[in-house]
Amino acid sequence: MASVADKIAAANALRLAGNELFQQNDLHRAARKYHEAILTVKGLDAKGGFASLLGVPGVPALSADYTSAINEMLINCYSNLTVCASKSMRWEKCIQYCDKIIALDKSHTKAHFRRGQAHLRLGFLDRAERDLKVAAANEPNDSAIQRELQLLHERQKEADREQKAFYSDMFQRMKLSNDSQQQPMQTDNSESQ
Amino acid sequence: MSQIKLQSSDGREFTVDAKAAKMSETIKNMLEDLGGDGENAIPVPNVTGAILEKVISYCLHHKDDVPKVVEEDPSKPKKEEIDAWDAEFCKVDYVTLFNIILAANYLDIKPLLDVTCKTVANVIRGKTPDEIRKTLGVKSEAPASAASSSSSSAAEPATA
Repeated sequence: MASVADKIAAANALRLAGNELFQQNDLHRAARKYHEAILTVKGLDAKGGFASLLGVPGVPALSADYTSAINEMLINCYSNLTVCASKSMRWEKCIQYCDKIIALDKSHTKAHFRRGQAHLRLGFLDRAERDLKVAAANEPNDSAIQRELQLLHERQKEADREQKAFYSDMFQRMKLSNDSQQQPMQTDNSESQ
Repeated sequence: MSQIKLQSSDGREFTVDAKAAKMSETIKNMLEDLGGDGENAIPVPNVTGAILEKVISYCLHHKDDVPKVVEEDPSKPKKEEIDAWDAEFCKVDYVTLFNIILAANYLDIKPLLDVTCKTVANVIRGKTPDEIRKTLGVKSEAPASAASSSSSSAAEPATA
């Protein structure tokens, strides 16, 4: 069985091959390389799990250096996969990968930015706002984040207008139906009188 | 694409029904990202052939399961009931069982992770630490366990 260091090196080679294919805009094959890189290092770090506690053979407890190298590799590959997904406008997938990054690094700026972007495209404005605000707090001068926030505000205003129009329309209808209900009552009364 | 190939860490190749393979969230994601480039075998480099074979048999048995829509009541303790086929499936030595748990986690197969962890929970329930050690065959090497527990507690804040 290959050592952990070998596996990290192998994953890195796959990642670089993925980057090359990505540059050539061959997103499917790039994604395959990133996935293979993830599969190479994922699960090597069973630290804190019962595997190392119980001494399951083949699952060594890893040093902090290895753990951080593995996490960095996973974040890097998932990050590239989010770009692949958002390029082909598969926003749900993009969100899924961002979730994985954020699970490893809570305040990862780009993951929050991209997840916010995806939420915005899918119309989840509140979630988009939460993510983009985290990204903006980390990188206040990033123009892409500011542009996305601008877009969010426009969408929020739109949604506001739509909601107002919807309710005023509803109230109008209620009023009309009340009026029409009252009229026969009045005629009823007049007839009986 | 109704069949896909998986390759274990020891180079064994398995041809699997795509629906069964997609019980693994990891593989499902990958296949969706490949956009049809599923011809070449998918490497599963951190799972041995013996374990992958077990995992695949589980997936084949459960591939047509309807996802449960009934939400469990979080205020009540979770039921640890295991259906007969699954109970039989989990009748393996503990090292194999733990390796299946690791594989289920690695491949992100939630129902398999669930049932294997429940099996371990059922073994542990009501036993003293010493009994648990004896049942699971854990060696209580004092210096090693002390070192590993101190290193894991030191690492806790970083991971939390």
